[in-house]
Amino acid sequence: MATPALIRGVLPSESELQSFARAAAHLLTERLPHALGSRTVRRRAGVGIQHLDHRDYTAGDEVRHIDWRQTARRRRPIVRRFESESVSDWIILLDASSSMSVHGAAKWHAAVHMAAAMSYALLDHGHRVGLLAFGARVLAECPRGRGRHHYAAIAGQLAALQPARAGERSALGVCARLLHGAASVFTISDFLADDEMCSDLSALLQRCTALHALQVTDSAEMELREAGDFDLVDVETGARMQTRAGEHAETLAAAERAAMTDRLRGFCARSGIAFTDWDVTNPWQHTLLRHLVRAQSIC
Amino acid sequence: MAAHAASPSGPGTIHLLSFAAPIWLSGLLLLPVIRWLHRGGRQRRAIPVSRLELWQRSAASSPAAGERRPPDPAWRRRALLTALLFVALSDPQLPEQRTRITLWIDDSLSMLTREAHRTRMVEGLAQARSLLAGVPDADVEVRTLGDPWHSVGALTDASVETIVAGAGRKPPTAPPVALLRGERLHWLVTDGAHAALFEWPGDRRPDRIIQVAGVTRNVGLERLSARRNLNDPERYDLLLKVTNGGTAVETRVVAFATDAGEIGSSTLRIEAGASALVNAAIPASPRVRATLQPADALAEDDEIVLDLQPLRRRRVATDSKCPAALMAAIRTHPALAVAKQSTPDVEAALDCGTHGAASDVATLRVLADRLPTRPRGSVQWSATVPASRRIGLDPEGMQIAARLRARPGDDVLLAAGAEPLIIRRAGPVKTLETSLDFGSEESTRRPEIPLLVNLMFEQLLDDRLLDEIAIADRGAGSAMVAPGRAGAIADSGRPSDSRALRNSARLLLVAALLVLLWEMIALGRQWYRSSDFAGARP
Repeated sequence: MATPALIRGVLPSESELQSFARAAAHLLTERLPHALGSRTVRRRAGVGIQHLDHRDYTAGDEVRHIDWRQTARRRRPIVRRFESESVSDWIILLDASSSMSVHGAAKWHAAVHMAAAMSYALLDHGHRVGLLAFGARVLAECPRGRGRHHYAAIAGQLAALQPARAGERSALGVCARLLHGAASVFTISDFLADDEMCSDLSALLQRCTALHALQVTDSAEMELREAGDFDLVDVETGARMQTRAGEHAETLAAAERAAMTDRLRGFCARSGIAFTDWDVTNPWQHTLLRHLVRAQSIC
Repeated sequence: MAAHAASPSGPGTIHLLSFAAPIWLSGLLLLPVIRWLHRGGRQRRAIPVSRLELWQRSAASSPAAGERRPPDPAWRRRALLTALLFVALSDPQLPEQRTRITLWIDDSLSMLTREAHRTRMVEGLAQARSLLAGVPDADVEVRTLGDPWHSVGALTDASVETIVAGAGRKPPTAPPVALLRGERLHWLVTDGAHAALFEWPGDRRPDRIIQVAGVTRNVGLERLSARRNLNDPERYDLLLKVTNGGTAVETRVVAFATDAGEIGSSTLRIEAGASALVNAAIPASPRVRATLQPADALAEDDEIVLDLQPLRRRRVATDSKCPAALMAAIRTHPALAVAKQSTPDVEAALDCGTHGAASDVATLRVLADRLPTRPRGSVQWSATVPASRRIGLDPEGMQIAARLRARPGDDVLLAAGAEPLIIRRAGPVKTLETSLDFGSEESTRRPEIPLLVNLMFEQLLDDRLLDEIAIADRGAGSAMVAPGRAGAIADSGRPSDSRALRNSARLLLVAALLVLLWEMIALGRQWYRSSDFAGARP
C-alpha cells in the first residue's frame, strides 16, 4: 500500500507504517484458525455466520438479524449476534474539533498519524476500515472498505482534513447513528467536552462490538508562556475568562487536566473500553502497540 | 504663554511662547474626554485555549467594589497626538535664538541728499551696519523699497554700491504684505521725506527705523516735457515743473540748453512745498537740458535732460512720379519731411512707380496701373487698426487705380467689399501697398488724404506721429527731502532687542506624525497578536 506522494509530509512514511503493521500483526488478528495449539481462542461478537448469543434490538441493527422466535418469547425485539470472524470491521472516529487545533495543532497532527497507522495496519491484515471525522457534526466520512486502494482513500481524507481553528465543538455522539452492524470503534480525541464525552462513549458502546478510546494530550498547551493579565478564550465555545498567567495558573490547569483524564480512565475501566492517555511528545508507535496489548485483555 | 499680538512687544517684554491662532487651544479640552473613553482599562490580549474549564481555578478575581481600574495606557499616546495636533494648529511662535532681520532701504532720490560728509544713503547704511554688528549671528536680508521683490542679499560693500547706484530710478513704495513675514524683524533705513513709505499694509510697522535726515532745503526739477509747436514744427514747446521740497522759501535760476548752447533762463521764487511751472520754446534739437542754479544738497535733481528724438521729423524719400496730393500731405505733416531718393538717412520711402527706393527701408508703395474706378462694396478697416485711429471714408469719393492681391501672411488694413485697398505685406522689410488713387484731380480735393497719409506712415513706422510728447518725470515728491511724520515714529522708540519669532507648527506636526506612527505600530502589533485567533474564526 503506497502512500500518495502529496500526503507523505502529513502522514507517516510507508516504511513506518509497514514496520508498525508487522509489529501489530498478532494484536490485530482476533482468531487464528490454524494456530490453535495451547492458545485459547476467545469467542467474541462480530461479523460472521457462527451464532454467538442474543441481545436486545437497538436502532440501526439489521432487521434480518432479528430472531423472531426469541422476540416472541421475550415479548421484545431480540437480535442474534454472531461470532466474529478473523476479519472484522473497524471504524476510526477522529476528533476534528477546534480544541485539536490549539498550540500549533500538535494534537491534530498526532491524531492523524495515529489514525493513518491504525488504518494501514488493519487494512494490511484484511480488515474493513471506515473513517469518521467529527466535530459538532460529522465533518468527513469514508465508508468501510478494504485493500490498499481504500487506504489511499482514507489517507486522502486525512490529509485534506483540517480542524477549524475556532468555533467547532466536540460531539462524539453524532457518530453513533452512523454505526451500522458489528464493528470495532477506535476513537481518537482529546475528550475535552462536558463529562469527558462519557455519555457519548456509552452510546457508542451500544452500537459496536469493541470500543477503543485514545486520548490525545499535549502538555505544552498547558503552558501560556506569558505573564500578566490575559483573556483566555475557549476555541470551541468562544467563552472568555480573565486570568493572570503564570506558573501557578499552569500548575492548576495541568492538575485539572489530570483529574479529567482520571475520571475518563475510570469510566472506561468500568465500561470495558480500552483507554490510553497519549501525550503527543511520546512516539505514536509505542503508544499504539501498548494500547493494543492492553485492549486484548479488556475487549 | 501669551496670546500673539500683531505688533511687537515693548522693551523689556520677554517672549516665552505665543500663538497665532489660540482658539485652537480649546481643542485641548478633549484630553479629559479621551481619558474617560479609555476608562475600561487596558485591552487584554486574548489567548486561545482548548478548554476553558481547565483554567477555572486560575481565574483572576474581579476588582473589589469601589476599586477603580486604571485606564488603558494607550490614552496617553492618543492624548499626546491630539494635543500636538491642536497646538500645531494654534500656530505657536517660539523666540528664535538667531535673529532674522530684513533691512528695507528707502532708495528714493532724496536718499542721495548730501549731509555733512556723505549722502543719506551711505550714512544710513553705515548706521545699519554698525547696529547689525551688535546683533550676534543675525540673518540679514537687504531689500529696497523701489524693487522690494528683489533681494539684494547681505549687507556688504558690493550690495551697498548696488543700492546706491540704483537709487532714485524707481519710485519707492511700502513693502508688500507677503514679504512682511512675522518671523523676521523689519528695519527701515530712510530719511523720512516720504510719508507714504510708513503706511505699511496690515497695520504693520517697522521694528526699527534708522533715519538719516539733517538737510531740510532743496529745490528740484521734477518733470520736463516737450512737444512740437503747433504752428512751427521746427520748434518745441517745453514745460518744466520745479518743486521746493524743503522747508524754506527758495529762489533759483532755471536755464535751458541744447546741443547748440544755452537757450534761455528764468528766475523763480518758490514757497516751501510748492511747485512752479516754467514754459519755454526752443528750436528743434536732439535733446534739451534744464538746470537749477545755484545747486543744493541734492545735486541729482538740479539737472534734468530730456531726449527729444521721439519728436524729430522722419525723412521720407519720394520719387518724381508721386502725385502732388501725396507730396503736399507729406510736406504739411509735422512729423514727416520730404527727402530725395539719394538721401542716405531716410527712415521711409514713398514709391510711386520708379522703384528707386532702397530695399531695406520701410516703403509705402502707391500703385496706379489702370484708369481709376470706383470700388464696389462698403469700406472696412482691419481689426488691427484701432477704432480710434480709423478714418471715415466716403466710398463715393474714392477711386482705385490698381488691383491688389493679398498673399498669405499679408494684412489687409483697408478693403472695399472684397477688394483690398491697403495691404501690409509680409516680409523682412515693412512694405505697405495701396491701390487708392491719389493722382486724379478729384482726389486732390478730398480732405481725408492727409489723415490717410498719416495713418499709412504710422503703420509703416510703427509709431505715433502726431501729438507726440517727450517727458522726463522723477515723480511727485521726488524733491522732498525734509523729514515728515517719520521723525515722530522714529522718536517713539522701537524695540531694539526683540528677537524673531520662529513658527514651530512644523516641528509639532512632525512630532504628531511620529506619535501617529507609534500608534499605528501599536495597533498593528495588537492586531497581529489577535489575528492568530480572531482571524481564524469560521
